[in-house]
Amino acid sequence: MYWEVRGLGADIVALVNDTPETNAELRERLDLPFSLLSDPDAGISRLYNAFHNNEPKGRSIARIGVFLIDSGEHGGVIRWEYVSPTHHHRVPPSRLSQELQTLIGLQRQIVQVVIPSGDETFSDDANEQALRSGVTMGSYTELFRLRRDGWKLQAVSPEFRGATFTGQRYVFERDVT
Amino acid sequence: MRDIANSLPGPSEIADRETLVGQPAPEFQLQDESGANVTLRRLLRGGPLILHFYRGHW
Repeated sequence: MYWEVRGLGADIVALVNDTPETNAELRERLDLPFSLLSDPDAGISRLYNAFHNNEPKGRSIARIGVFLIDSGEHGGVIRWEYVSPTHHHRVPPSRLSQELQTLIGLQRQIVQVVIPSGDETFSDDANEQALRSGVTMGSYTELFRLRRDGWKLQAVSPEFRGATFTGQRYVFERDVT
Repeated sequence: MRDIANSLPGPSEIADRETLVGQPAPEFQLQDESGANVTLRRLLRGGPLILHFYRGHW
């Protein structure tokens, strides 16, 4: 995902409620290609309305949130956002890529979804309901969304780690006019 | 197949959250892993930016 984003002329940074020292360890441990900025008291997440007030139960923390910001040249405006209601929710990389390609004005858009082997499938109704409630999670739900929204399946290829089959990669394309 | 929809918490918990889409992104200055100061303004010089908020240890 990171290199796809870089290839589109954009960048990723993460803001974490931790110190630079713990972030340095985390980045090394997970071998992250992007930078981790330290927002120790989640003050910046408050400014972005991506804050979870957890008092008095515990420490207040950032929600998982993703913001797509236009370049400085275009005023640094927020063009797309997703703030997760719980810590289970994630933005599928394909969705983020779609929004970035739309932002930079690509007419022919290509996104990829990897379905890990062993992932559960759901009924169309369940997928539809999940999407209607604003929830974008699960690789099968994302596959459902892309098909529903008229993306054309261009390729499917198996994924391996070493000799072990790990899932299927689906490549979708659409033209935006 | 399992009905996932019922097991998913909806966005109601953050229903009163105001969207920031269309607004200028709030400026910040924060330290990266090496302790160097980084500003949003500077990050946006290179092009569009994906800003990802994570919780740390809790």
